[in-house]
Amino acid sequence: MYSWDSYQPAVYDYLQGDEDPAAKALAMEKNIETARSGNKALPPGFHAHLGLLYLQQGKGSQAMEQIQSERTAFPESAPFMDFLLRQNKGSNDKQDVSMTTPNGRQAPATARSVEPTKAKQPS
Amino acid sequence: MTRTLYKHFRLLGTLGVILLTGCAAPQQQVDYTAFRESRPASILVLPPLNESLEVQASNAVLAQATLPLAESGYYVVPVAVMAETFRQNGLTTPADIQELPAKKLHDIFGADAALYMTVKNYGSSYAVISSTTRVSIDAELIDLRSGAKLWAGHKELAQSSGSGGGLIGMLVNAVVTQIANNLSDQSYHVAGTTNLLLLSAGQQGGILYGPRSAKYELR
Repeated sequence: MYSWDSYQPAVYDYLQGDEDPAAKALAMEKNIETARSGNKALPPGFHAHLGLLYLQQGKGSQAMEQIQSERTAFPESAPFMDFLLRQNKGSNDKQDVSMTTPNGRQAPATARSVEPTKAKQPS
Repeated sequence: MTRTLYKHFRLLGTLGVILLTGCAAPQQQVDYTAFRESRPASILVLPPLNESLEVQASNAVLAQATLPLAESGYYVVPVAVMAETFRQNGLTTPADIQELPAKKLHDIFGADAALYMTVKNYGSSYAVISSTTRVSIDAELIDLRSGAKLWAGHKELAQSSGSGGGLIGMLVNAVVTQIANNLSDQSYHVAGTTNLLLLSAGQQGGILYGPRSAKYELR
């Protein structure tokens, strides 16, 4: 029913404390393409997880887009996605959001600094 | 992942005989009355309790529970986002999380039901001529709106590798298999298969199909 290439491995790596959200996000972005070409849907949780990886990198607006995509693809997710959107309301690429600071783990790309490195963002 | 798995099995295949043995206790008749009444559409998979000696067991089982449930027709709450939400609220151990009131879980995650799991066994044991990787899991599905128990199941899977080929051959096999196990974390893959057997709908004693499945039974 769904395209499973990247979601569960990405979840496992995240739970195990993987420090490279950019690489994982890239794998998931590729999976979006393979799912599209194979005419398959992305599994439940996929977009929200990609959103989490974007947040880890300080890409707040892209993260919110993914949370919105999860909500659109799966209306069952609405209560939790709305909770996340409320929590991170007003977040943008310039400020930290609560989900980017997991306890005891500091992702190097987290936009903790006052002046974020905006240059990394394409488009 | 599929490719790694394939490579892994091919490697083992050249080394010796693979025995996949599902040793489930005979399933007794399951009462689906509460399940049918509840008609859950979404499932929150909580971090499993871990009774094995391997620290990664809980994460390995948690990370691979979405596939069988989603393919059975359920929405499954994003797993790592859930874990992160708990962490930010100071909840880091499965025991603390599984103690939370159903209503609270329902309020935050909006899921109809939650899956409570316990990893009873996870890991490989090595004998001289073979190794066995064993994963066993208990699971209970609870309605978060009513607190009712909808379903319970247990599955144990043991994958052994060993072979004929004389004593020397067997010794070589045992050594090489141990290396292979360490390299690709066989326990992780066996856990994935155990989840698949435990949490897929359409089997005796298993969960019922969910609303997103073509096989979902309308009343």
